[in-house]
Amino acid sequence: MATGVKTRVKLPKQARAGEVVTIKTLITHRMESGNRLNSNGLPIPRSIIHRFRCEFEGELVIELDIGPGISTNPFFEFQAIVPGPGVFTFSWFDDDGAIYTDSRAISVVS
Amino acid sequence: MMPAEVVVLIAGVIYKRCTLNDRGTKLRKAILSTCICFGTLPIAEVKADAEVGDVELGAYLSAECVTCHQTNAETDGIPQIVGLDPNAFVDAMLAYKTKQREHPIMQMMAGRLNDEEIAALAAYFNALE
Amino acid sequence: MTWNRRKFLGAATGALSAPAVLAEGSGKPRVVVIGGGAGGATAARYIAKDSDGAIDVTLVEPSQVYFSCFFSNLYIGGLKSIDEIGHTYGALAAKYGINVIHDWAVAVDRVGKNVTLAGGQVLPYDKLILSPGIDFVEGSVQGWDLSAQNKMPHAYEAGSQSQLLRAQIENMPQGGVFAMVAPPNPYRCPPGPYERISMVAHVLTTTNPTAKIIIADPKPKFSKMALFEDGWATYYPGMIDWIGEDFGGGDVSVDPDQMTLVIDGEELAVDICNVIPAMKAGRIAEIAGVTDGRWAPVNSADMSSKTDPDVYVLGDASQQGDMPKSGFSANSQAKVCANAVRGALTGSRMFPPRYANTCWSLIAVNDGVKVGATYEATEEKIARVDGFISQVGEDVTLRKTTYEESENWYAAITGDMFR
Repeated sequence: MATGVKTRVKLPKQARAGEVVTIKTLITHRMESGNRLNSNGLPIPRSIIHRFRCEFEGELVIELDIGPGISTNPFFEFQAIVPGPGVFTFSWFDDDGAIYTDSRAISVVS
Repeated sequence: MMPAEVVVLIAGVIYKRCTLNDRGTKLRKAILSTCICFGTLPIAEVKADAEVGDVELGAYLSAECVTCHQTNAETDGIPQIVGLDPNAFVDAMLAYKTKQREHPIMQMMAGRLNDEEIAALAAYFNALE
Repeated sequence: MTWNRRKFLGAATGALSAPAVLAEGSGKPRVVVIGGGAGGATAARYIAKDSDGAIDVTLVEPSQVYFSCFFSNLYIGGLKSIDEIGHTYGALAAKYGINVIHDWAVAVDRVGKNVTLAGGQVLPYDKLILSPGIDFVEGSVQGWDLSAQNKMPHAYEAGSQSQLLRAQIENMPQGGVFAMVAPPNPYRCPPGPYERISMVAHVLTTTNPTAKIIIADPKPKFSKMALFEDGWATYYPGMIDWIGEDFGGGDVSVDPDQMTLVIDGEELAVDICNVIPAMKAGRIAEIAGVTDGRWAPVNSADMSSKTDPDVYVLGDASQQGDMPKSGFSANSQAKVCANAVRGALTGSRMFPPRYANTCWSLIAVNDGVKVGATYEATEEKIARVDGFISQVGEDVTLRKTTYEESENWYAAITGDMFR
């Protein structure tokens, strides 16, 4: 696992049924390229977030395949329709095998 | 393109081939010979001559230098420029201006000085004790 | 010699503290400078030095000792002592004959052309230079006002506030939380809050490694962001959590009594809360009636106020265009202003304006970075011409050289202001 990783998600706590909401996500992550050497001259293992996925109650909202040229601390902003109350889950997949997850519940007002 | 700009360009190219040891002499010769080649008066040479530098202008411009270059203390980092030989001063500024010498701040500061201003600064700092 | 700097200062200002009488008696043109920081001290010194006594210069500054904001983060990081960032006005008085008055300016009469001090003294002027630095915008951070500054320090005017913040960091419980409320643009020293975070992290990494740092920021990005984030990931992994505008960093309130911070509706208990509110020109600029909104608009050619050609505004308080609010900028503007003021009062040669700035920041011990630019005066503003910034991934030798360069610069600019 990479060190110093932190996920952050922002979306409204409430929406109307069928409303389009904006979701912002950020993962604080070094995105180690695998090309750098440590102070002993040995390569630092590659550790890049290569995939991001958002689901709502088990249904896929968005999935992104990310190339190695992505910046450190990748930030994604997208929109989703909220059909009813439920939980958004978010997953970031690291080259080193780690999966970082976060979730947010949203309630629906009439 | 103006002749003077051509001179500077070509001088820059020739200058790149100079060794570190005697860059000043070679630059001077380069400027002079290109000027002769182009049949123009060696304007760059004359203007960059510290002896004709406008000391009052130099004093005004120097205010920009002394924000970083201390005038009253020996330092081992940012170099002392008070009393510097005018030829050495001109050489250094031209080297920064043509990006032959590395340093982002100095390349930027020298980059906007014209020949008259460089000569003025050289004359001013040479006269300072 | 048993003279120390403080005694010397006292004697020098004592001997010269009847400026109104001196000025009126001499018949010389009179310049009053309000504010003895990077703008005001430089302007006073250059006008006095270059006019060789032909102009009476009075410098009004309430503090006996000036603590520079620049390098005050290095004090907070334990790398400099408070004395190393403190400077006195003795040489300005003794060497250049400047009338240094330690008092507050409380009123400016631009019609009668005089300044009234808190002590009642009235100083007539031909040219007035205002370099008052910043004040905070009331109500910009919900729950915070100046009366809370001893619980939640801003430390954005150096001196006792810096000492308080450093003491708080030294006494923070193990595993505690240091929070910063960062300011909105424009503000003094764009990389300053982030250099401060670096220095706080530097201290905590050794004394309190399980501590956390949270920054609530109303901005989507900040000065030298890539350099700082790279440095934070290298030196202080996992310690620093930056919450920008996208994640509610601008939706903040504080409770200084409870030591809580609410970010985007979520309440946090914090051990230290460094609140850096929104800023505006120092109050005397407002009192003088030369501000428009929060800042004082100036002409790019000579830093004269757009309201009054006999009033000049320097440094942080001015609204000039592209230059950042920094000590370097103020010093650069002061020299252009000094040349223009001398020209107007004594007919000395005037030269075209030229401006420059460089800001160094320290990310960790011996890891310095810099950003800089040159500027020119255009019709509508001071406009950026050319610039550079340090790059991510530079080698350690270059970063160390950059830091050493900043130490040299510090000695030079404070000499250029005070010696």
